[in-house]
Amino acid sequence: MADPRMMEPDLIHQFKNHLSIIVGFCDLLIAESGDGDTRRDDLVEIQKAAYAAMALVPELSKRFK
Amino acid sequence: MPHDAAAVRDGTTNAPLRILHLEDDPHDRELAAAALAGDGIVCEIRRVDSRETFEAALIAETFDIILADYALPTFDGLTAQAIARRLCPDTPFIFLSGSLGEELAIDRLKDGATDYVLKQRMARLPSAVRRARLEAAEHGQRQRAQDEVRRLNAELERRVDERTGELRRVNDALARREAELQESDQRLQGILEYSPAAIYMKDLDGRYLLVNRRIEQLFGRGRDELLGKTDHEVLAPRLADIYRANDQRVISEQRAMHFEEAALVGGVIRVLASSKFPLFDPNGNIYAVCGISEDVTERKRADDEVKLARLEAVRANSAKNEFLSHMSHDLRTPLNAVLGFAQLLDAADLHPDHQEAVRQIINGGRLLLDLINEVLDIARIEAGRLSLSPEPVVVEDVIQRAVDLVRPLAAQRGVTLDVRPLPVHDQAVLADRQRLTQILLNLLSNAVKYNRPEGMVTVSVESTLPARLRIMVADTGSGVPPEKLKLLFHPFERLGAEHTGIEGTGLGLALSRALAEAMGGTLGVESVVDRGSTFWVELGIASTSVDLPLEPVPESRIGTKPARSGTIVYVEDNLSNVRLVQRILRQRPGVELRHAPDGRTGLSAVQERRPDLVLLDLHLPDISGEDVLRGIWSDPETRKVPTIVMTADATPGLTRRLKAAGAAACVTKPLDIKQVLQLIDAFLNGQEGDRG
Repeated sequence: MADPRMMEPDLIHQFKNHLSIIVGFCDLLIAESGDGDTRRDDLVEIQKAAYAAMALVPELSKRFK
Repeated sequence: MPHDAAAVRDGTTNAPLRILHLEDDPHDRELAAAALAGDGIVCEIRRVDSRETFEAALIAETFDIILADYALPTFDGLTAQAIARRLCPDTPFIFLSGSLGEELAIDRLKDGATDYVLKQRMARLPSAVRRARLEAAEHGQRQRAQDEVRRLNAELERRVDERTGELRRVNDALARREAELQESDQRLQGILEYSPAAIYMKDLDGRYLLVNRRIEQLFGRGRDELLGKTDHEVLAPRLADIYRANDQRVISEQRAMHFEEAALVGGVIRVLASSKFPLFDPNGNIYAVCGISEDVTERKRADDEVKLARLEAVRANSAKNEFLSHMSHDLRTPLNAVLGFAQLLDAADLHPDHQEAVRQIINGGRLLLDLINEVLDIARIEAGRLSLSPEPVVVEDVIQRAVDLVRPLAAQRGVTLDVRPLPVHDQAVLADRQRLTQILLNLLSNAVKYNRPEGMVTVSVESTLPARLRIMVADTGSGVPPEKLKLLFHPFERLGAEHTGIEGTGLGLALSRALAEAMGGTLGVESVVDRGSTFWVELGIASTSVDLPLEPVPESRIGTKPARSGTIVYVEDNLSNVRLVQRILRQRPGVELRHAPDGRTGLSAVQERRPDLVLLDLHLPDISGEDVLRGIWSDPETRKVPTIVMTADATPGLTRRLKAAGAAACVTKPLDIKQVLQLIDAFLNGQEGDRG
């Protein structure tokens, strides 16, 4: 089994990649939703959660080094 | 016949004197006989008068004395003396002649004759005979004595030779032994002198009897300074105390013992590994202590460094695993919100473009979740902390379950799934059911994803020796070149698939192999380029006493009617999760949700409100979710309130522990909204009667 530190670049890359997809589609959906759209709140929750996850990546990257 | 000289001298011998008389004249014969008889000499006289008869008589008989005439008609005394000297040299020979002159007689005496007697003076014959007889007896006695002396000398010489030979042999053996001992001694001395270990011997008072060169170097003192001295006389008192105490233990316990001792070498403390043992005399009494001490300072330092490095590695690994565990929880919390809200949106009536966007969000979230789970599993395996529940698992069942789960993906890609009949029905392997399913799901989903369009995936099983079963998943994909096969099991190594749009974390195969090995099995691959690959997992065969698999959602709950009313207490500190559950329960408008932000508040709420259901997070800011669960269960008034634990770390072991502590069900975060709603409906409708 490889040392997880060796996996670090791939792992961080994949985290960022998946989170970028989530954030990207979420931003898109928010932009296309109207002010009165009831689903907007749900999308905002997704966006907040995705940014919260994204904020953890630098910490993850730092701990691996 | 020889006569004893003393008896002859004393006249005590009774034996008649045997005389051979060479004489042709009968008158002279008679005169001689008469002279002898007249003097009292008892004798037997054999008379001869020729050479033939003289010679024949000497050959046939033994005589004490020979009397011989000097001049005979056919013979002569000179020749007779020569014959007698030849045939019986010890017999006295006396010439008895009437014509033997003085000069001739002296010649004869010089030539060995005993005496001569003139016939004219016959009266002298008896005394001549007596003297000759006595001389002969004495001569014989001397001869015998000389013979005895010679015999004794010869015997003595023989014995001396024999003894000398023995002594020579003993001396030779001793010399050889001495040479061997010397050689052995030299060898031992060489070993002692050039031994890297310090070797020494002390008497019972602790005085050095023997030291080698190494100990001289170690103590910085010459041999002369050490021999006969005690440690207290040559070393620092503290060291001497320790050495003496250890020697005393060997003396009192009378057995070999091992010690770690310090030594001061050039002002630097060295560590010695000392073996000390008693020496016994032939009576079994101890008389000395022998010691062999090796300087192990460097080895010990290296060992300490290895131990420190190992401890550091364990600490680092532990820290890494702890970090990964926290990271997992920290990432799952927002992921829970992402997937939860995305699932709600997915269930809504959306524009197809928006629906596609929501599915991309869900897909991204799920891949991220897979990634976290797989990294965590790898970290757990590395730390030896992967919790496995080995049990007999029926291969047919686990294959069927995995195939069912992957079937939608196969259908989506137009890949046919073919499960070959198993050689033995109900054959089981010893495995962790969930982990084996995870491995098969990985192999099957890979076989589908990396297959060609309209391809085929074949699952088959074969027995291998010894007592193992091999589950094979074969695809009809493009195959992997032999030189790249090993790379397949490297984490994040996707062999270029990352550029093909085929989704995956690149950890699946590495994790599957690690899981198979953790279960005592193996995982491998055979591949032919352009024809496809066959991945296999091999595990030990087990007896077929099998429990039914633990299903996250019992079949009985599927199709439960939506709950119309009820009160739920949700103990959760993360507001995103609270909002998600609130949002989910909008679909059950009659259900009241009360939020408790920590464990103690939650416990009070349950005790005061007696809700119909409790939703409980495990990671709470004050007390743990397990403590809350125990609190609910320990109060008879609240024990009946069902509790659903919602956790991001739901391992089989934890699930069992929580259920044993009173949990009615466990669900994993990120939440499967459909599953959560079904559970809530079931408990609020009172359909979940058996809480086990």
